[in-house]
Amino acid sequence: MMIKNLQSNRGFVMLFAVTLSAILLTIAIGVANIAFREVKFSTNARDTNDAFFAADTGAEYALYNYDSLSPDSFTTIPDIVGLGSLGQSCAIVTVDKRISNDPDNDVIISKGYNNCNSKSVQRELQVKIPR
Amino acid sequence: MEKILKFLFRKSNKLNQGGFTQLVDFGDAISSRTKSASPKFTTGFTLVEVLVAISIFTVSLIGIMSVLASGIANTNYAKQKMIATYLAQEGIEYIRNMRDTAVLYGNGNPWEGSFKAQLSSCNDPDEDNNPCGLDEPPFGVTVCTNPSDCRLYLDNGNYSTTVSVVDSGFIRKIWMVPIGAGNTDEVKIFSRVEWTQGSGGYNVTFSENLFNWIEI
Repeated sequence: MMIKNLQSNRGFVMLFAVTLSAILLTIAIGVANIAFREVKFSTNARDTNDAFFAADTGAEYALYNYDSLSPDSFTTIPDIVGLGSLGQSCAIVTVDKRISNDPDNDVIISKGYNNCNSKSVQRELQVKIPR
Repeated sequence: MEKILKFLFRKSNKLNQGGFTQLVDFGDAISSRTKSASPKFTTGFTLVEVLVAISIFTVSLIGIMSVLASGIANTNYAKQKMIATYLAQEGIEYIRNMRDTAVLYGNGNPWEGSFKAQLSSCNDPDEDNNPCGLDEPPFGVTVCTNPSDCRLYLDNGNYSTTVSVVDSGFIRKIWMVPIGAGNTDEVKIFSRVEWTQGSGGYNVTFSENLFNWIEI
């Protein structure tokens, strides 16, 4: 009878340890997952700003050179590189002065990228200038 | 040896015959092992077993706990980084506002005389050796003679440059780099927010080029 009782309790410590480990592991993975996502989110916020400021610089550059571009023409400004704090951002800008495109406005489209090579994050600005 | 072979054979037989529904009965094997092992050998064996088990369990717990700790630290880092991102963005937009205000409302040559003159003290082609801090509006900048002058303080939950008791832990530096030798119509603005966390120092830096494109 005694042996029977002992035998039915065999493996309980093992079960207990495995269960506890599993619960703790689940919690740890959950926390690590949330932390990873948050870090990704904050990195994305930084990339967004890099891309936006690159696009803004591109738009300003186009506005600065706006008068020198001939009327009723379409210009693709050579890529503006070396932007951003690390010099990795860039902007691709087009100035559309064609009357056939828009009879009333000239349109500047500036696409900013956080990283010129990977082009993973893009922000685009559109400026309309009444003729 | 014979017994073990017998047991294995019996087990495989049972498995083959029974399929999935029939469970293997370990009762026999355990009792036979207990019977066959000599009492001398079993003495103290449980203690060793327990020690080994505890050590394995401890190692796994340490691993799990370190993952938990680094996860919580990363969450805190992400939070600080988000705040720093917004503060650095604010720095750039503050300078943009200074440019717009100067150029739109200034007289004479406001780009040189008003905007660039205000930033001339933060002119720093190399690095942030000579940074400025932002003033409370009306808009302006002040040179930080040492980095702690650029410190941001908490004021009812807002981040402020006005010196107060509650230090936010962030330092915001603004500086300007003129672009090109002959091109006086372009400047590059840098905005860097620094903070320390744990044993490391971190920063978020943005930059933007501003042009003198507005014609009055």
